[in-house]
Amino acid sequence: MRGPTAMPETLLRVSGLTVRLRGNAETALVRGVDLEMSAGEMLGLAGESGSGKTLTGLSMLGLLPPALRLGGTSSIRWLGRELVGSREREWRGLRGRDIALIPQHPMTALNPVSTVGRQLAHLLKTRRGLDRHSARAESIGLLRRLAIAEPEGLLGRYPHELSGGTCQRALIAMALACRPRLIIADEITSALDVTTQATILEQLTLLCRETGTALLLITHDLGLVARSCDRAAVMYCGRIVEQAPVEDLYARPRHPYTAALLAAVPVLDRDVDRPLGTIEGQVPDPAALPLGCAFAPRCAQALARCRTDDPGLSVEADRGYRCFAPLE
Amino acid sequence: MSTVAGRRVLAQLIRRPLGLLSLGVFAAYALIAVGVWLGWWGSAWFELAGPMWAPPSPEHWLGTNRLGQDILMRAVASTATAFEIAVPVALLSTLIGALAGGAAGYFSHGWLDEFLLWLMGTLDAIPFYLLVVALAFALQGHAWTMHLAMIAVFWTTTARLVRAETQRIRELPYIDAARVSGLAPAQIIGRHILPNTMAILLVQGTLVFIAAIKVEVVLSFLGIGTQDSISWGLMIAEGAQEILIGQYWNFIAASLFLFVLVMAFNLLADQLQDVLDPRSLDARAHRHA
Repeated sequence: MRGPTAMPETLLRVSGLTVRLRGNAETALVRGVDLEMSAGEMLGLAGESGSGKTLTGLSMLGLLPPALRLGGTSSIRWLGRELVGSREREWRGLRGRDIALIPQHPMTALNPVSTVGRQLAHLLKTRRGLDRHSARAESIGLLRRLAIAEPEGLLGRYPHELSGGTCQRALIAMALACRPRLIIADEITSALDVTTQATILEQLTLLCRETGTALLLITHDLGLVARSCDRAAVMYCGRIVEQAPVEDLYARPRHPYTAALLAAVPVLDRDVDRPLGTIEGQVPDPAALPLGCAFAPRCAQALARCRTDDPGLSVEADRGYRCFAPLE
Repeated sequence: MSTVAGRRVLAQLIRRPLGLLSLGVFAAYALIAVGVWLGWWGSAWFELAGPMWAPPSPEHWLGTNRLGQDILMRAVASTATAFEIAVPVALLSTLIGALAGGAAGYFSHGWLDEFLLWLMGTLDAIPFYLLVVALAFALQGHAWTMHLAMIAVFWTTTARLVRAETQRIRELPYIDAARVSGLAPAQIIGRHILPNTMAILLVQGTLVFIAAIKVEVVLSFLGIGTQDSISWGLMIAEGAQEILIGQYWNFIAASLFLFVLVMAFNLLADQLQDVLDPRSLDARAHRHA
């Protein structure tokens, strides 16, 4: 589908994204992330807790916690416009309308003293300028597209009366409400049970494909990425160590970390006696990263130079990785 | 607060004997005040209705004062005066306290917060009655002097409580979610934070209501309060002298009206606090029902 004549427009181009602790020039939590998303693309950003994937997402919305700041080399371009250094007002115009975020914890991300309908309507009124009637009609339409059987009933409910899955659907409806071009979904299914996870993610990706919305799926679960994304990026210690189309990444991981993560994904039809893969050792402290490749201390393939030199980006067709001893 | 939650609070108040009692007493006083405003009763409080110092009788239930004015009628008319002061003072100081506290808490440690904290500290540091006298002098006996002085002093407590609660709520995920969807701070404070401080606002509003009535009485007693009207404070001021000559009905009538209302309101504030506190047994039972 993606021919040379129909190159989709580049929505977001992140380059050299660095996130540092304020007042501590040494420690970086995100170290030079380069990422590109074109219209309608589904990108999975996978990694362990603390690998910097959530911070990468928050940076795109200008919502880093006050204790953190962007490093000097960081550039975030939205439709060609540089966002780093924007005023709060400009960010606010962008949030929700151009880039929406679906939050991590559905049960606490809704205001407990207001109904779902009122919260949705408020968003539609203030951000899209709809009046009360069209806001209600639009809310019902949004919820119906998320396979909610009785949207009218849901509008009058308070968040504590709802299940986690329903709350999450309401939050997805809120993210879609302003028709953003990019949705960042940060671990949206981690708080839900497995069957709900699958249906919610399916509905979300389906809706994104229907509306041509790009999706950045932040998760620690490579299985989810395989099921719903076009491309996957694997993060380790604040850096993207491998980025490739999903099929290539799963069929032929080049980075040993990616391979180790894939080996740790449980598969139903695998021999139960064979143990799941584990990765020896621990994620290093960002304040005391090892010299060279951050994964080297845990890597079976590590060479001597892995412990002294930082591997640069090797580009190969439509994929890239950072490793001196890539797997074949 | 949403109407549903409001109805729930009301339903729980009525189910408690003390809640029902205090609400009933408050409703009775409110009715008396409304009756005075509509001219059903009490409008003739200044008329010389009978002989001087008449004892209680079927015509004058609580007797008459030294001018022959009906004491009960004066006490009834004073109820309206008390509400005229307490209602605007309670509403405005709660509103100002909520807005200032919400803004200070949301931008805590910013310049706005520093300024508001400084303002609250300064206002709280001025002795209250001194402030009222100064304001009364500055405004040359303007009708709203007393209101203004009370609002200037009473909003700070509400603001401090709301500020602390806002600092807590600000860190909750749904506020992050609101910021992520691009809402401006004013929308977040008004829509997502202040409604969640309603418990504080209701209880504070009730407490300010009583405080306003009590302060009016004290100020009127001191001669810097209600003028050209009647109030319990003025009656008590008169009555304090008259007790010496054995005429105590003026004093008793005003004190009793004041006492019952203040007691009822204190009870109401107490019951409200219980009903609104999520840790209270009632609220928990209701949530699981």
